[in-house]
Amino acid sequence: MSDNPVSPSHEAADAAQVEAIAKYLESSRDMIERLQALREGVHDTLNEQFQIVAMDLEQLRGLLGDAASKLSTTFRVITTGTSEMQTALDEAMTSHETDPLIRIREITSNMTSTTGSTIQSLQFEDMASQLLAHVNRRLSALQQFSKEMSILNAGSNHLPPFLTQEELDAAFASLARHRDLLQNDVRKAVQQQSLDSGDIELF
Amino acid sequence: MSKTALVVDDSATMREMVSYTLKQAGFEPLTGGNGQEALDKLTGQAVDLIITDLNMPVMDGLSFIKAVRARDEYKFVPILMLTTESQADMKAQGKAAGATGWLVKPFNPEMLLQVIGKVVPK
Repeated sequence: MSDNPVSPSHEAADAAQVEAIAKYLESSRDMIERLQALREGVHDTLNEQFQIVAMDLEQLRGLLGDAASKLSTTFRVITTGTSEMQTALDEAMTSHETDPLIRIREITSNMTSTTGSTIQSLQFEDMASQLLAHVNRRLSALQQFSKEMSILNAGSNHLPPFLTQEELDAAFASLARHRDLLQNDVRKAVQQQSLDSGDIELF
Repeated sequence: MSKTALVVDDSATMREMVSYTLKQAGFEPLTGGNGQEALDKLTGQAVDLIITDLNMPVMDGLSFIKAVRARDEYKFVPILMLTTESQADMKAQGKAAGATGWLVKPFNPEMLLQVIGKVVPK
């Protein structure tokens, strides 16, 4: 055993150890940066998707509100018309004047127009169903995404998990795949914000 | 003799609303809940008009139109797409498949009948 604690062999060993530590710190820094980028990607994706879901639900609220308002109006017109028609019929049966009959014709015409408005408003059901299906498809994709990203959950010591390069690569690939799916494959078929009649085009 | 129209939509409410409107114009409506169901009903049946939705389970509206146009007896039957879709690329696909016209939901009964008056021979 040498008396000199800093012999050349010790120096070489120390240098190797320092180099190993430096390499480890470098790779840890790289890992932390990639983890941070992954977390930001997940956060941005979730935030963006939840905003889309919130907009769908707001659109749905608008369509339902519009339908309820229009149907309430047509309901009032129909019930009032029915009552007025009954009165006019009673008058027509007890008199020989034509005024009640003219009035009945006016009411009938008004109710025909109101029926058209009712038909238009009742179509909210079809649009609402499609919007809800769109929300459901998006939520299903998000649920799967959340499951695949659970690898990022902190452990019981609240520290970020240690991931291998392969696990990180797989997580980034999953993020890219889900972003693409949510942006391109989950198509939205309903753009209407109200129950006004849509465009018509003859080819 | 009344004319016959085939109404294809996966929404029962839509089928009912379109059928009611067509009856007002003297049509006898037949209905199908998706493209395949409608094709089955169409076999051997003369129709004067077809109104179809786009997004439907089993067989969508575009596939349905292509299948209809592939049958000689329905080559010239007017086909109107009635859908929530309003994007230009979707309309182009509808036109290429053989649709006669494109109506975006919700439809106004009076306007629908005006369009039908233009595409169905008297």
